[in-house]
Amino acid sequence: MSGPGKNNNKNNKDGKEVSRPAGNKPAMTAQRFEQELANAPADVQDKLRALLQQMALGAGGAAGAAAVGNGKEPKSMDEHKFWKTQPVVKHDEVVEVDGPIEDDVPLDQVRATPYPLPKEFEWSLVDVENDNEIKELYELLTLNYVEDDDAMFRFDYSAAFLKWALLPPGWKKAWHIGVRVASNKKLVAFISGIPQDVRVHTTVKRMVEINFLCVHKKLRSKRLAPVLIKEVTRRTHLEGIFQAVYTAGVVLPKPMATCRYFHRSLNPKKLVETGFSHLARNMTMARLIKLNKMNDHTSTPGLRAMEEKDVAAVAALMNKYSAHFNVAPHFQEADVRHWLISRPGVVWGYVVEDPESKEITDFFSFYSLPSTVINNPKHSTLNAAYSFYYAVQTPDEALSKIEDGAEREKARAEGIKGRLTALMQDALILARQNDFDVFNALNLMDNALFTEDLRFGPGDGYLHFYLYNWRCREISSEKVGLVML
Amino acid sequence: MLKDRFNSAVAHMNSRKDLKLPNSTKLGLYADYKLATEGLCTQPRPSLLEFEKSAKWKAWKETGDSYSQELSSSATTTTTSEETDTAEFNISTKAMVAYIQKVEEGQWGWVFDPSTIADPSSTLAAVLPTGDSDLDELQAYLGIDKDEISAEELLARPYVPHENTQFDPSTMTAAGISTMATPVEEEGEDALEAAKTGSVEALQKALSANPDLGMTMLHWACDRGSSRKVKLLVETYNVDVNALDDEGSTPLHYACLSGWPEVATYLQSLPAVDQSIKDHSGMTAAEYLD
Repeated sequence: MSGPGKNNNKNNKDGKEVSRPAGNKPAMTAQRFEQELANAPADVQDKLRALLQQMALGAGGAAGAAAVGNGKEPKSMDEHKFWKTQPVVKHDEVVEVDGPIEDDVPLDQVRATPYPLPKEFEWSLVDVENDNEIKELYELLTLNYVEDDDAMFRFDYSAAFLKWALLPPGWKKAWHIGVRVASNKKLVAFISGIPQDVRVHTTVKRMVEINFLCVHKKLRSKRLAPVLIKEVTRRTHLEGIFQAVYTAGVVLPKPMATCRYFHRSLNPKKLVETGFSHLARNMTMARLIKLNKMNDHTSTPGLRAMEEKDVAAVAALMNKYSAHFNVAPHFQEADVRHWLISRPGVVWGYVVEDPESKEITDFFSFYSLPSTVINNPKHSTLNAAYSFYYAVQTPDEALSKIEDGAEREKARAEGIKGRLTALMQDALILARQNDFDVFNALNLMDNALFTEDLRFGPGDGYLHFYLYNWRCREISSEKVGLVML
Repeated sequence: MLKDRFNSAVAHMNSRKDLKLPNSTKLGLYADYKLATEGLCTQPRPSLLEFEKSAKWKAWKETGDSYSQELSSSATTTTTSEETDTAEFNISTKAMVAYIQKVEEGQWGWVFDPSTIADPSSTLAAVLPTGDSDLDELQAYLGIDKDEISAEELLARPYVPHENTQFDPSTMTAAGISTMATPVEEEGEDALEAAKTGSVEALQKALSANPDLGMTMLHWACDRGSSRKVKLLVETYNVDVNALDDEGSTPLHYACLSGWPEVATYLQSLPAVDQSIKDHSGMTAAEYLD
């Protein structure tokens, strides 16, 4: 029922042409129709034509109504119209060799001034460190950001979360871009970028991660989104960065990877009551609760919260583990410190310290992204934990002896499955202890190794990964090592 | 000026997509709009199976023909000094007038207010090419649908979700909210129903696919947490309050495990309820209360 599932349908409007009569066969039928019509008596002809028209306009529905009066195409084409001007891989393009789509723009050729906005609006950088402004941003997002299509849930990123997400090492104020109504200074739109080294296949590039694009829902007709995208691109170019990475629940031209959401119930009763999950007709609540019951305590010896002193070890573990994937961030120690050490209510980071050698052998993390439950008499917030980065020990020496690639992958999976499953079981227990209702994970990294055993159920949402101005051979979900907030 | 009135009427109609107009009316407006903005129809006839296009083409073509006829017949009778414009311009003028008349007669809430004429410099779309190809591209894109209602006014209005689910780029980067996919449920044939009217196979299927695990109606009512159903069953129909299912659970076990304190408290208040019963896991109902 949620956003992405239905969003996919929305995108199928691109497929609208496909569903209409097209190609040889229908054309022949049309000819036959015309012939038969020509042979029919005049009054029958007229009736038939009138009937066909009626059918057409009825079936045409919204598109027909929209077109009458101003002769414009349905809106889906506008969307295409914007993206087709952008340096992104086209839907029908198959990439064989990675590389930039457009050359880097020399600084003196980058547009120096912001793109013009319609006159009643003005650009306004959002000072994320300022409590009043972060509150404005929080309010914009919490009231206007993504909902699922049944409007039952809406993302509710906390102010503390936004600070964490927008102020990583190397953050730039110029990339926290707001739009206000000139007359009353109300913040009505936002887009952000943060810098991140990303490895795609074998190339490491300084990129910008684009996130939190949001336009006030009453102003969607003002077409601010394309200007925001153009403006953040311009400001990225000014910093000498020409590639971006972003994710969306919808299909745009063209995903480099597509992942599916999986959900593990921690509080099944609340999930049913909020409509997040459904109780099958013959399933009892009692049995559902029993099935999802977990131990109260974690089981991995040496598991503890990550601390400052673990940063170097975790960075080394993470980059070694990430090497297995075809797209992954390249974390410096500063990044690890920022992203993976626990922050109350925002992110939880844990390491496993070998009780004997005192070495850090594994780590995992998850972050909090609650959703507002819209119009529910009993619950106002759904507390969702999202799996973040992790790493486990891999039997590298044994694997290096296996020459066949497929055999090696299989041996690797078998070699880490048990350990990873045990760690994620502990992550679920910790999430439950922290009052989360559900634990979400995409089927990226090695997540498919534990989701079934740990009773994750498939979600109705998908997440598509995109690169801007970078051709990239397609990547299967289990080779994605990048998690975006 | 005629053109301003026409543009205002067009903008109004575009903002009133909620109107459920008959197709003939829509086609009439469409024809006048095309004639006013593009002149006579010179496009080839679309295939009859392209219903919508076909209908529009016909309206555009035929209305244009009839206007041409009217104009040429009137031109022969009245010759005024003003009629020096090209025929195409006259068609366009005639169509604008006809469009405005239709909108006025239709009473769809359009009132022409000269002060609302958009200042051409106020929208990106109206800006002339700047020579900056990047910017022109953006303007061309943004110009497709300029919204003439002010931001403040839009903000003051109650929010109405868009009727037709269009792709909304405004939340493009959002991950979307995924929820548990609904499992495809077998159309569970009811066992009682199958016994009465179904086939042997249907009964067999219902019995094997529908493991009620010995639950009574009271077990189910307790599981779903309905106090009213529980009270109805207990007080009006005197059902067995200590019934055991296949796992040795009483209705009270279900109420406790499923977390319905109101139901549990009610059952515990009944003298007939035996609270000491242990299920096959060796647990009393109270031990399941969180």
